[in-house]
Parts: sequence; C-alpha cells; structure tokens
Amino acid sequence: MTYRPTERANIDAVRRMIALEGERDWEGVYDLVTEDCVTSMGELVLHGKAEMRAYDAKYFIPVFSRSARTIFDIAADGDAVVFRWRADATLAADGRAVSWEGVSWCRMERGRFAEGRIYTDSAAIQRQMRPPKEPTP
Amino acid sequence: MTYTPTEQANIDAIHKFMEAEAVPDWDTVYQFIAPDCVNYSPTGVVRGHEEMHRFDAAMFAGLQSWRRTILDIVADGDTVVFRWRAEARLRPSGKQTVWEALSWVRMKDGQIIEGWKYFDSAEVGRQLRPQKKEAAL
Repeated sequence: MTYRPTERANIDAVRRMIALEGERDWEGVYDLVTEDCVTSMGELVLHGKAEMRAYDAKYFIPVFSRSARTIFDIAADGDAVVFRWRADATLAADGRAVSWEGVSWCRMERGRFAEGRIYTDSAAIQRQMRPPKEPTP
Repeated sequence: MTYTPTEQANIDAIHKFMEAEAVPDWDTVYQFIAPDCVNYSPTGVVRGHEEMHRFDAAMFAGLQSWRRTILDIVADGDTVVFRWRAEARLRPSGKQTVWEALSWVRMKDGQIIEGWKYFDSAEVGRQLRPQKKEAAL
C-alpha cells in the first residue's frame, strides 16, 4: 500500500484520535476536529464542535466510565479516511461491559476532521444497555 | 485521485455489480461474488452463493422494487468501501422505505471475497413494520 503524504497524515490523525478517546482526553479529541465539523449517525446530525461537545457531555461521557475503540481496518483515499472499529465500554451505572462495531467515514481538512459519518447498529447498542432481567423466583 | 489499476478495476466491478442488481440480473450480480464469499451484517452471516441465493429470495419476495445508489466510494488496495442509499417498495403494502448503509468489501480477481454491511437495524425495522391502522372510533 503506497499512501501519499496527506493520506498517511490523515491515517495518523485517526489513530491519534482513537488513542485520545481511550485516554478520555476529550479536549485532545476536539483539537483534532474543525470548528464547523458535521457529524452524523443515522438521523442524528451534529453541526459544529459546540454541538458535538454538548452531545458527548450529555449522552456519552457520563454514560460510560470507560470506553475505547479498536481499529480493525483502515482505508485512505484522497481526503477520505474510512475505518472499521469495535467500541468496548463499561456502563457507569452498573459496571457492565458493552461492545459494538461500526464504521466511520471521515473527510479531513489539513489533518483535522471536517465531516464524519458513523454507521453502526443502534439496536445492538440499545439491547446491551437495557438493565438485565431479574431472575424469576 | 490516482488509483492503481487493481483499485480502479475493483471500483468498476462494484459499479457493474450495482447496475446488474438494479436490473435485476442475478447471473451477472453473482459473477462479482466469489463462490465462498462471506457476508456479515446486523441480520447475520451469509456464507457462499447458495446461502446468498436463499437470503436474496426471501428478501426480494417481500419487495415490489429495490434500488441502491452509491453515494460515495473509496478504494485502497484490495478494499472497496461504499456508502449507499436503498430505496425499496414493500409488498403488498406498496410502502416506500429509504435508508442509508455502508458496505466494506475485500476483493480478489474482480470478485467480492468478504463483505461487511453496516446499517442501523432499528431504523430499517421501524420502516419495515406495517403501518398501524387507524383505530375505529
């Protein structure tokens, strides 16, 4: 695989972001995102870094006490970087481990994320987030 | 964008595969799929042509029409990743459904040898559910 310097830099930026996520260094993550970055996941669309921060602060950071993504596969093509990943996380509420897979399709501008589309199965996540059923006596 | 001849051939194969699917011309579609291809998706794992034929027969029996449009495509070595939108009309209701998904495929000699489909099964399920009839007063 021969990448152009820009494609190589984009792959490195993705790996850096994933490492920062694992360390829960959210400010480091946001430094890699453009101010007007658009992120979408299904019907959810977040416009700009401020909306991303607000979403993470409400729905992600407090929900998981630990979270890390592992990249399985990565492809770079011009300003696009696409990677398949698995997320492993611990629910803050009860300490249960959950995991799910997805693909992120990102468009990069000067080494930062300008657009991101996440393809994942929200049904699989929701199933795991439900509290376990009490055993019947 | 400069592709190696193999990457360009893989992209061309995916476009031809999608054109054949739109007809639908299944003999041509299956020429682009290796006999022992394995396909992973939120609905399960399908291995080889025989299982794929069974899966397609069951799926298309429930559809009046089906069309996929490629929104974006990248190629990197033996990998092709493409985002697509599916538009389907359900049988017998005629209900129109639309959703987006992503396919990540590995190719060899112009055929798909392994593929992963990513979509939100919750969103697709919502659209496929029969519409509720208005309650009688």
